[in-house]
Amino acid sequence: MNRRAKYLRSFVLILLGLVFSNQAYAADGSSGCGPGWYLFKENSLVSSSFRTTTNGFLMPVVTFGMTFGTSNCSQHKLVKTEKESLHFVTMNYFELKSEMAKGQGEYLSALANTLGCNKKAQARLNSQLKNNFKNIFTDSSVKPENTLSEVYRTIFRDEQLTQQCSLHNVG
Amino acid sequence: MLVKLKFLIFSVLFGSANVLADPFLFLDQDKATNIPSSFLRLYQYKTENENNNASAIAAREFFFSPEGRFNPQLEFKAAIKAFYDHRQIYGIQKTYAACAFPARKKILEKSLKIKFPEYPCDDMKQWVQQINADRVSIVFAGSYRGNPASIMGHTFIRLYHHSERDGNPLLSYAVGFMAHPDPADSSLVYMSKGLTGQYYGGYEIEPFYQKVGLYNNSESRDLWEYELNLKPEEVELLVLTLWEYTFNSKIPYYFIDENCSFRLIRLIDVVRPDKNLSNQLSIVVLPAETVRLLNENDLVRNSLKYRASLQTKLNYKINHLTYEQNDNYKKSLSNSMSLSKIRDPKILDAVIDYWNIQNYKKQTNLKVNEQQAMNAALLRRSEIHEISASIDDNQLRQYAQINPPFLGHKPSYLQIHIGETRQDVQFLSLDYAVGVHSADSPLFGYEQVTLLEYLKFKTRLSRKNHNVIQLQSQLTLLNALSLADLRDFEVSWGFESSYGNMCFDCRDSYSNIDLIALVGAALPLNTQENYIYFLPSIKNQIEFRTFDQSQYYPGLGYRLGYLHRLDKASLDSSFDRYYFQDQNSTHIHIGINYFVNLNYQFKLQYSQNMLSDSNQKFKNELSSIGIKLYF
Repeated sequence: MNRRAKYLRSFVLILLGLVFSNQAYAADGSSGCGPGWYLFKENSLVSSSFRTTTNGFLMPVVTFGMTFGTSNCSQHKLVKTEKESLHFVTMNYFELKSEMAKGQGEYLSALANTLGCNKKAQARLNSQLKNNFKNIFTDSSVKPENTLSEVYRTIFRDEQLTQQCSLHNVG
Repeated sequence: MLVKLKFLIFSVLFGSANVLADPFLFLDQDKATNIPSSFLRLYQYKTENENNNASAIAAREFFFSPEGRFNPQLEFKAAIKAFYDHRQIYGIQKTYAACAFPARKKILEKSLKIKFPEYPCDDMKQWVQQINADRVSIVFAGSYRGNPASIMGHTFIRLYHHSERDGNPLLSYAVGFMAHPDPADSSLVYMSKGLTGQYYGGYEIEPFYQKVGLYNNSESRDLWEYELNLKPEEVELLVLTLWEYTFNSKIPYYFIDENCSFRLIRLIDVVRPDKNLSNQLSIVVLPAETVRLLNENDLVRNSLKYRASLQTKLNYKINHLTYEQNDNYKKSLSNSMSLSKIRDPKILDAVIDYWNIQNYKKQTNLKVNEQQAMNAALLRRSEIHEISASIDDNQLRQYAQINPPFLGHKPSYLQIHIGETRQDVQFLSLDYAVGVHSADSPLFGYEQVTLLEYLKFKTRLSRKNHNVIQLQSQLTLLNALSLADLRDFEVSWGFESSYGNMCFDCRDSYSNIDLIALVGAALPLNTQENYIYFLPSIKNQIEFRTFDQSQYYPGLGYRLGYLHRLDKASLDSSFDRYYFQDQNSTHIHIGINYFVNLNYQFKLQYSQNMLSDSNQKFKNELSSIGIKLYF
């Protein structure tokens, strides 16, 4: 593992600890980091969609709101899409779960995009997520934060994926 | 720094009291009085008439002038002034006019050939950049079997970049016009408020994957998509218009006409005012018809894209299993213990899809044992390394043999019949219906709908020996018939409501109201298009008499029917029997149809009506030939 990858991995693991811990960082005001911040600004692209969940589709469990705005983010580019990835996992939880078990699919491809993985990484990412399925989905409860956290861990356990996934979107 | 410098220059050049007091100093007389068509469209004024007009947009924040909603001329002038004025803030965002309302600024700059001062609009630019669209498409969410109301479908638009973020449309954005009903309202209140425009709606943008999640997965409805034939600058204007609408507009929502699809057409009207699309719509705006309208106005390009629903994918997979695989698939559903022995990914993929559909149907509240079965299938699949071949949407469409209604017959029809009764009475009948699909209509495009008719006017002129003997008429408000497969444990049902003097089992009445509710079962024969059905029913008849009080007659009965539908011809037949307190009635109908094309058909009909009470029997037979034109 080269030095850059090591630094990135350390940084991300620390950040994950911050993001997915239950500590409150209510006063941090850091939701303005990266382009992803706008997604969850009031009346913005994604927040408006939360109002329409009464039309039948379901977010599995909306617990991640607690974790948003709490990441105390720095200017690192990782935070740019953390929210987009988590929103994507939350809204497509069951589709992603199915495709991770099957080892391919457009939802996996879109997830890879939000994680900043280049196209070459797709097959390997699919394969590693499939191999790690049991750890990603430990029980039947719906926990998008844990799922994403395990996806990150799957990436950082793999040197090649660590280099191929920048964790900021490539769109 | 650069921005501040621009402001300084602007202040020196334009910020003088003179310019702000009269920004029209720089405009020709013509330009200062002729409001650009796009400008009027953006405000969604009811007509092009500059006076005596009103905008559909009910939000005060949307207008520069306090009287802008009802006076386009004042609003036009206020807009020009606002874009020169850096001292005022506007809109919900409380920002410069140019930042809150960039679309109208762009329209005015183009049509008046002027350049307003630039402002630092970081939020707006970031929003536009995040959407990053240079393409727009219209998406139609199709109907689904078992719900005639879904024939209305739904439309939304998709904004995307031609590169589609590595070719994945899920990460693009979708825009729909959504009503905001009060969740506390009962169904009846919901219906009445929706019909009378008492709910507000708004343009809303969300990731496309949420629409796919709702329609494709949760509701198992197919999606159809046409790319719109818009230039990049028109796409840009459309996105800027959405910025204005998303934050600053609210519009009364009417289910029937000024609904979600109508508002999307009004949005497209802003960027293509020359097409005048909204004026071409019918009094009932069907989402599918708005797609047809765009097609007819050369506003779509490239071929129609199909995105199969989860159910369609599962049906395909099951259909491609061998007998043995199918047997194992069924065993896996009934006994999850058997999963451990299965190594075939095709079977496991189908099992996973099945559980996903069940999971969505039950709002993700599967029973514990069902959840365990689903998880066992997923876990087992993750242990099998083999990857299944992906299924192309075109393959799925070919398999499903399904088409959207906007490729089928048009929604309104006119039908002319001439015929004779057994009693030598000749008659001429003329039927007109606003919409949309009858049991005798061509099936193409309406495969999943049995019958939905509304606003149907029927008249019949009869004569005997050259003397006019009767003029009958009937208005049907709504007829619906939904046939579902009995083997899927799904209920078939129907509803009919009409008013007129054409009923065969009426007594001595001037006119009557008929309300019929039918619930029963149907069985497809060979294919899903040919059904035999039996529907026990309740008939409520209210008779209005000329010289007497109106009477109410409840009746019980049933309908036995058979539908056989082919590409070029169809047979529709039914046998109705009703028992009233003082009489019984029977109605037999047989219709044979030949389709010259989707919008033109010949018809042969035979019907027999019998009415009997304890004293007498009355029987009438009619046969006729006719044509039916859809438009």
